[in-house]
Amino acid sequence: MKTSNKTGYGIWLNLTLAACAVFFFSCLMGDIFGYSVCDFYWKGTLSNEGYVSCLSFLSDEKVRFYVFLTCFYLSTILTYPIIYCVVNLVMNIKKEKIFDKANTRLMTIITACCFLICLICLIGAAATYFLFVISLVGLFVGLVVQCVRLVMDKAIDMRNELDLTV
Amino acid sequence: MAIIVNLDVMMAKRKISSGDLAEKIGITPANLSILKNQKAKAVRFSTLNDICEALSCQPGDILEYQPDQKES
Repeated sequence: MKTSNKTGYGIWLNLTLAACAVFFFSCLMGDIFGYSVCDFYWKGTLSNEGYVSCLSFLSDEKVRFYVFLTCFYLSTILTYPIIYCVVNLVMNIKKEKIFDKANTRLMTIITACCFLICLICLIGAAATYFLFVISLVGLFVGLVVQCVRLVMDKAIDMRNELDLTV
Repeated sequence: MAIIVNLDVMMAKRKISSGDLAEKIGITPANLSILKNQKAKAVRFSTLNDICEALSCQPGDILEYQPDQKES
């Protein structure tokens, strides 16, 4: 704790935790009022009148809305493990457990969840173009976390070797 | 690992304890223990130089190459 405050990243860790709390409550509200939220956005911007789908059953707007709603709920469910992992990651960093295999495992879970969200939204993109954008964001975040995980894995190996250099 | 560290043999020959050797060459007893128990992944030339100086021996007296035995 003392070192993190000395090096000046303590404030960023606290901000990340605060952002996680906000994100958690947003997801919770999204899950509780999911139908209303989706209905509001669907009617407002997402219905894409004149949308031409390659799948015939998606020509019905009601079916497309329910596909969008399902993707919304599945994505919010997958967001909880991501938030849990990020909070654990921040807690580990606060305890000065930075180059730890546990952190790389948490990052693997985050990556897997991001890729799953990407896949779900990619399937849902048949109903509305908006989900395609979300799937791209999920893919990008997943790839970034995966890169950080690989770098961290290498750093842990190097540190272990350095510890055993006499 | 194919490289064997015979530090304990040389220490016994020179009748020197781990603590004394660690103090002479300026490394911690924990690091000396890593070296003695074949857990070290690398040895710095400076450490090897100090060990050879303290034990009055050659690097070959401390390090030995033994090919890995393959299971048939």
